[in-house]
Amino acid sequence: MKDLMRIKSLLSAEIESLLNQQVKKEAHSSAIYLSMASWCDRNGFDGSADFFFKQSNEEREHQLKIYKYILDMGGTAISPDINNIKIEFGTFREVFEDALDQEIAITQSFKNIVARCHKEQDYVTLEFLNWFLREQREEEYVARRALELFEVIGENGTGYWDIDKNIGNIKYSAE
Amino acid sequence: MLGRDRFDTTELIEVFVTAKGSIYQSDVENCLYLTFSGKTSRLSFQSLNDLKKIIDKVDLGHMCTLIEHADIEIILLKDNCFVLSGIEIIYLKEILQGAFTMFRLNHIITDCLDRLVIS
Ligand SMILES: [Fe+2]
Ligand SMILES: [Fe+2]
Repeated sequence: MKDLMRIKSLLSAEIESLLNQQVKKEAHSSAIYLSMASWCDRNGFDGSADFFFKQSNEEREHQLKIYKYILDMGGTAISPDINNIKIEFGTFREVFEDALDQEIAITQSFKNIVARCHKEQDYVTLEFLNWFLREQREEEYVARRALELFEVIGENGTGYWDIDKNIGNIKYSAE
Repeated sequence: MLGRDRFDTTELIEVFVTAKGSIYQSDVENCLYLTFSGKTSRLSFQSLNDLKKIIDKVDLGHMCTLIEHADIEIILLKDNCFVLSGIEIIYLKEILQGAFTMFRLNHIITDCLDRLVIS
């Protein structure tokens, strides 16, 4: 008896479902960063607004990368609906605290999919996910460093102004 | 039960059969034959998978509370249309669940055989 399931798709139902959930999480990240960009812009933090616009675009690219992978492997990619995006933030600092929380949640989520791939011996998807694991290293570093600026620069006097000017300069080099 | 005038039953492999219906696979045509409530539908694996996803999502509790179009669910699938009552959905769900369990089992076996190193 032919293995029609395997002929149709490289992905198991479980991994396909986890990847679709990840598509939704990346879309959600993209929407949250867009919301953060709006808040920063409204409150005079132009540098941070730019930073979050860029982050939002990156998340959108992550979403599409997974979306296309699901389709390329013969799966069904599901376009997610995103709602309940936070519009207001209490403080400038809170925006960055949320950003780091967001990235940590994404890293955890990838770890979960990777664990499943190991269990199913899906080495093809595992190799695909390596790019994202590397990306999360950078994402967490940048988010953590941004929050650190609140400590090293300080929030008093022209602190916010300086922080906002420096957010865009944060760079990560793995080497 | 299977309409012999429509396809050659000898080439069909039983996937899952209940008292209410059946799913057979054709390795020649790379497709599946679903026989249920008096009709046989020829479906690709993708379509059968889509059908399962739709059936799994049907809210039976909600269906029972409907007064006007009581107890009827219409499912449109690429080349097929299914009009099902609540009880039929339960029966079809059982057939699909059984079939997909067999597909998974077949995949595990095929995968093991593919990996056998013959020295
Ligand atoms: Fe991302
Ligand atoms: Fe990210």
